[in-house]
Amino acid sequence: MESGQAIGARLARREEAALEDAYSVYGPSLLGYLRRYVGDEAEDVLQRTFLDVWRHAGRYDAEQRFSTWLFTIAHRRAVDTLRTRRHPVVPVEAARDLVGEDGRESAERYAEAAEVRAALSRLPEHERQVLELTYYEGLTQREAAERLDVPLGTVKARASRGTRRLGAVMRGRPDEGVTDE
Amino acid sequence: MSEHPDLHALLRAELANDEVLAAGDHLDGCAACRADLAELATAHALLARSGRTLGAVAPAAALAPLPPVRRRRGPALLVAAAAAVLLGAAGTTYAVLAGDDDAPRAPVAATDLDPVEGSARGRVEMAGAEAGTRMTITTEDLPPAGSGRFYEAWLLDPATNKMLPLGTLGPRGTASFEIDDALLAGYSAIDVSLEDDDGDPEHSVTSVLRATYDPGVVGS
Repeated sequence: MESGQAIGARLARREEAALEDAYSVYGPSLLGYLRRYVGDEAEDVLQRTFLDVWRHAGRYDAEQRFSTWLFTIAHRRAVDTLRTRRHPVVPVEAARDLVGEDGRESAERYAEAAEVRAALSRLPEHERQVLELTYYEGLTQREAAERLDVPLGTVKARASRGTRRLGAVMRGRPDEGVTDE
Repeated sequence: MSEHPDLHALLRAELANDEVLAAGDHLDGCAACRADLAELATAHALLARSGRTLGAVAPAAALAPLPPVRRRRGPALLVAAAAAVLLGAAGTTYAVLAGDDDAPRAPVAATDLDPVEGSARGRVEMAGAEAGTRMTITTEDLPPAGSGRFYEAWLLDPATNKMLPLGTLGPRGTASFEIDDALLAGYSAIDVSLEDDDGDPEHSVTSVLRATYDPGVVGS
């Protein structure tokens, strides 16, 4: 999978396939973000976010980080959703987090997290799987080895290789520094 | 020199205290491990922060499929839509706002506006006008649009998603429009959307209320 900016550039040319790519790479992170603020409506809001993304694709500036652009749109949609609710059912703290400066900051923090997550999707499956379990699901390497039913040494090797590769992808040098076994 | 420590486990805080301290001693004397650690540390920091923020994330395959996107109209049609808005404002085609002194006529059709989002409700009545059809929209419990926003009424053809802007709802959530019968017969639903006052003449995608009507009764 290419970088976020490359997906954004294709979207700006109104390639429908780019919308699908953006959805599969960033959709899960966006859904996590929206769940926090709009709860059960997150899936609907996610769909509306992507309709907006399509509608405004021509305005995407390739200089801007793509995830930031996506989360800005999702943030606006989440605020709209809470505004049109007559009986808010989100925790007051979550609602407070969503508006004003705090809201922009948390959208940016999620956008950054999603960027790393997107880079992860460019790793070989085995390495990605180990890093997901250990960094996103909170497993130790030993627990990951049990979950995957592979020796601990294999998990360590995949984690180490995957981490280096992720660093290279994030630095924009995906082919550097890691040799496949 | 001691055996090279497991640097990834060190960063992830998965080593026992004595192993951590031994790794520290080893690093003091091993330039290769120090270089290795520097490389791993940056990616570890990115992953740890991302994981802390997002937590467990659903796989992409678990997402509901995206709805088909509405293709943007070609430039010529966009210009036509913009021109229609301008003409509407000048009152020469169809948008005649509430408050004129046409004598009320019995409605030829009426339909309920049901909530798409939120819990507002409403009603649309259509009655024959001097020329065309007068459509009157009334709403209940529509929350204030808020600063820099407004509600807009549209004709919609759900089969093709073709839309025609009618005009804005007034501050009481009501509006009345006189519409050419041939135009009205080309659609079969009425949509009320919440719009940002951002100069974008397209539908915002936030539909609040929707009603359907039978195009066959129009003008009858």
